[in-house]
Amino acid sequence: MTAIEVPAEVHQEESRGGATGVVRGLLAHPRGRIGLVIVLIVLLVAVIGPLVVPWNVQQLDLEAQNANSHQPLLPLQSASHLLGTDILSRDMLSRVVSAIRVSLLVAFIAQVVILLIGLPIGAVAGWFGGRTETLLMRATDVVAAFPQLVFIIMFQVAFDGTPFQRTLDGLLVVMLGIGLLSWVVVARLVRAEVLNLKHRAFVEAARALGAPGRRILVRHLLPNLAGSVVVAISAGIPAAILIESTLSFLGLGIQPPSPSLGSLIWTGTETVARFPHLVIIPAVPLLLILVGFTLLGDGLRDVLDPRLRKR
Amino acid sequence: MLLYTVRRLLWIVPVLLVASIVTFWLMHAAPGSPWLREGRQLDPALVASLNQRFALDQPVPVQYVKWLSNVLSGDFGTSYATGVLRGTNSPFRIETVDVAEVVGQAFWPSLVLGLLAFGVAIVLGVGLGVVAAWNHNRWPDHVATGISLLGMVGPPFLVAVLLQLVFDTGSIRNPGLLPVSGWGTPAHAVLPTIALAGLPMAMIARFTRSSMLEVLHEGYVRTAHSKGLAPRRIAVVHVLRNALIPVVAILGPVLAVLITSSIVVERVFGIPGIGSLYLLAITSRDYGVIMSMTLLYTIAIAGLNLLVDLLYGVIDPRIREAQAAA
Repeated sequence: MTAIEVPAEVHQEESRGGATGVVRGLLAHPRGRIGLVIVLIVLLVAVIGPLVVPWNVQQLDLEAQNANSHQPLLPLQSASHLLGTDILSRDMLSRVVSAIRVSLLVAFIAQVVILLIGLPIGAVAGWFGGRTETLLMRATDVVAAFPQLVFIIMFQVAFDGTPFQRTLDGLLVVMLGIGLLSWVVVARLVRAEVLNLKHRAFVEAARALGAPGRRILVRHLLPNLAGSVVVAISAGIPAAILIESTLSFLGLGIQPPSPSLGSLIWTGTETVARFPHLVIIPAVPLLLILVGFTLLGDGLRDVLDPRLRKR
Repeated sequence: MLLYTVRRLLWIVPVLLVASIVTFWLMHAAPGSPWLREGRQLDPALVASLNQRFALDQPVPVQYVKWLSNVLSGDFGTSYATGVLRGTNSPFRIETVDVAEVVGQAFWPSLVLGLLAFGVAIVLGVGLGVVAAWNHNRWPDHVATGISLLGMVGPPFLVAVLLQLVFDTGSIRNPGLLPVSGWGTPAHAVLPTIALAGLPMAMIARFTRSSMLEVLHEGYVRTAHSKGLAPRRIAVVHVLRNALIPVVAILGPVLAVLITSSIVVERVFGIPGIGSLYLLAITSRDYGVIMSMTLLYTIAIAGLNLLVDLLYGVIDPRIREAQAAA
């Protein structure tokens, strides 16, 4: 028989006007609003910043170097270097802007890796149940018990100096490392949601009408999962940025020539007593990014998950 | 309760097994060898004989089984990085140090630092959370929430670096302030403790606040108020005691964060603890130390999690029932 079209039901709380409703909710949420503004500014800087900054990240300003007798320029000391230069007379503004882009890129693509692993594992475990579920959730428990940072560090070291690591200046290995050890939360969440949805009337109805499993999953389950997955992912972004900057700080993450906020801070610590600005300049955007995404995540959680919105 | 404990303890075994296999494989996949580091030039024949002596020339699975059986009999192997290699040609002399000894020495500074930070995090975290909830939506709440937001987002390595910056530049003008690196005197512990305690403190503060707010709206608190009890008495006896029970549940994740952030904090402050040792072992491909440290970290986190869950059951009979039923 041909399946009769069952209108996919998206349940009340999460459908209030879709994306515009979420944005409206965020704007009404005091902390979410601040987070949204910071995140938008940071995204703007990351996307168009590298196109407008005057210097290449690796370019040495030999003129300034000689004029300033091999000392780094302070911020505002020279019109062509708004944030000054580093020890090698490279423009700090250009380096920081490029580092922001790198950090965001890593964080976003790590979330894609997390979704690609966590979503199918959680959905299959929840939908099929039985032995499949036990097996998948046990595997999830094992990964959850690993000390995360220790294993991500180990993963970086395994590819230390290999061509695979040098791809995109280490970006690829960092993203994979974070993704491979952070999907647990999404998998558990998706399983719980699928278990909860699987016996709801609209799913039973679709099944009774002969809709194939894949169609039920895609049309009926995934749209209803979107809200809580977005919440998990928005909490995952600052977590990924934290890990990436820590790795780069330890010299294990993003490799030169690409600058990363973590590696800029590490380089700055070597001369911190004489030139504290070399630490402070990359530290400010890092903190700002983390504050922005954390507030936005809090806001999204309150807007998308009314069960948690008690106060 | 006993059954639950035993089952949880047994569950640590497969976790350790998988963790050790993954680490062993990753570690041997990493290019480089413990002998050829820091640009050291050695005679290939010497390298070959060293590899043979420490069985590094055998296939990785064989090495793993050998390592595992040694560990099960209490032998954690030799630290290649701390041993001294004399001469660059065969015959060579090598003075070896046991991994257990190296890790054992590094353990104490980390334990002291960890306990200090944990104590500070609990006291300040609960304090901030209580102040915030008791003054809900008034200025002390906003201040306390702001502080815990900063602790929440401040990466431990950055907090450490910024503390160093303040006290390093400060000590140029004013020598005798707190030392910014090293270990040994109580003053050396102050800055690392602050850097390490920040994130755990924030986690505890956030959780305490929301747990307090929940309890403040409970029926028995309203009853206590309507009976005319003093607000201070209600706060301590009725609210705080009940609000702190769920806080125990997040001590597991808090301790996990504390343990992993100690790796970076120790590195920044140059503390000779297990975090510094782990990073050193990784860069020098000190296989035995890497493996033992992985086991140590995994056992510590799994064990502390179990301890916290058991403690939670002891405090809250409802949880105990759920644990027994599961």
